[in-house]
Amino acid sequence: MIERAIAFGPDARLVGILAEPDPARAIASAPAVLMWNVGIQHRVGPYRVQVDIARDLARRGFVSFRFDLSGMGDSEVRQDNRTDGERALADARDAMVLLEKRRGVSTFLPLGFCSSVDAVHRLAMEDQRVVGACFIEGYAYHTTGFWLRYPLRLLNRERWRRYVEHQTQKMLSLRARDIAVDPLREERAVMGSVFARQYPTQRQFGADVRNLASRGTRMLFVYVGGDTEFNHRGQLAEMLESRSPLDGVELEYYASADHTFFRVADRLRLVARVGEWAAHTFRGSALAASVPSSYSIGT
Amino acid sequence: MAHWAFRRLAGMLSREGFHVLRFDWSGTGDSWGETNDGTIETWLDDVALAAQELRDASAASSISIVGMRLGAALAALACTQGVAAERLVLWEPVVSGSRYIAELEALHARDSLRLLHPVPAHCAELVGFPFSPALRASVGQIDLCAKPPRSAGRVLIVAGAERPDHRALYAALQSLGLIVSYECVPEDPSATNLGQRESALLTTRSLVAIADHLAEKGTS
Repeated sequence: MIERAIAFGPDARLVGILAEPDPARAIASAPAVLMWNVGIQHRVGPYRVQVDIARDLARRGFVSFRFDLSGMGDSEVRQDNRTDGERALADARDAMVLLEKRRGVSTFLPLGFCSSVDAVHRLAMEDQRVVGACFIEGYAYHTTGFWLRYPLRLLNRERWRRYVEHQTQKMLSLRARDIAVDPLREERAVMGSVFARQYPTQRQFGADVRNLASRGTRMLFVYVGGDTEFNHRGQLAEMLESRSPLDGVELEYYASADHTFFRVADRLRLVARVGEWAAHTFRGSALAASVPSSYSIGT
Repeated sequence: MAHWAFRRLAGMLSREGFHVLRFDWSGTGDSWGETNDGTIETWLDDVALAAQELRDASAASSISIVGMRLGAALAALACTQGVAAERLVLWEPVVSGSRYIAELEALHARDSLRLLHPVPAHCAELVGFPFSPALRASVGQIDLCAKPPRSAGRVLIVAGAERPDHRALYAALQSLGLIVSYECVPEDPSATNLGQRESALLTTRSLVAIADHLAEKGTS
């Protein structure tokens, strides 16, 4: 595998890292994988997970490109009056042009994580070159199934353990004020002030995904179960209002992972799942898993 | 957020005419290596390699080094092992490795409070990253007061809030005969405030203080 830093786009104002597989392992017709900023973090993603995904994909034969959107990470601001969403699409298209010229690829697989799914969703809808898309902790809607399961929270032993820990911390915080009393409340306040996102309506989301599926776009949706808007495996089908599975749509649900994949073991599972999905979807059979063996995997 | 802070600092210094090289430690950011491969020894080699790369690329006759938190400690330790720096800027430096680990553990405990399924006790992880027992042991041995960065021409300690360990480092380096200055640049909040550390790195007062210090004499 080779990684290169590349300046691209108008006046070479954007910056990204191209990961290329060894020529012997490269899959000739595979789409190139695109990743960009999650929230305000630079191109490495939360806990460096996008680096791990890119390298895993390169070992499986995929080209990938992690880049900073304009005005973020190492990329310069675009000199125009477009909205952030429009700029993100323009940046992604500049990355596609780069990879077409440099690697001769003609199809793409954007991967979004949390807020970065916004541009992945729009790009997939608007650009026929997108033949696959991965949505990690993307759009979620409260369905009937979600609300039916919601009261089960009260029977969850881990929630009660955490509640007791929070109350204990609250009492201790009278002596140690530099430790957050209520991390959840604090996090929500920060998220609310930093990220203002506009979701498509559930109906629009369902229609878009069905359109993509009918176009032949392959999709992987990954959701987690800890404190999120998603609480059971059947929720995606409910969100899509689809009684039967859609061709080309796969779901992975990690009930015990958190939204940011804080635990190393959860990230390892995520990296392996994305790599295996990409390999079996775009090659036909998965290459050997390439999860670093020296990581300690917890439960 | 350290990436963003250093990018801004690099831009400020570049506009002042400096050649600037930013790099990620082995096993972090974009640099090669798995996240759990990092060791103090490897990272000290990284400092020496980066210094040489900057000299080769810029043909500069002298260089200065800016490090933040553990990066500041590594920069100081590199200057105990022969890496020459015209100026050495220690930004919110980790002075005591054992205290730093205690701070990370407090942060880890805070972050873990939001998890429904905490990190199992047997997993060697801290704040979302692998943290091997070997790395923990070597970081725990860091004591900047005991090892003066003798190959640094001048040392600047920059902090966003008064901390006894920064004052102790200042006093220790002074007593060892180094040319050292200490600048407390009040930020609200401080970069060492566990609850709001990210916000601090988006402010500019420390960056301006560092850039002004380096611009007093033109080094790379």
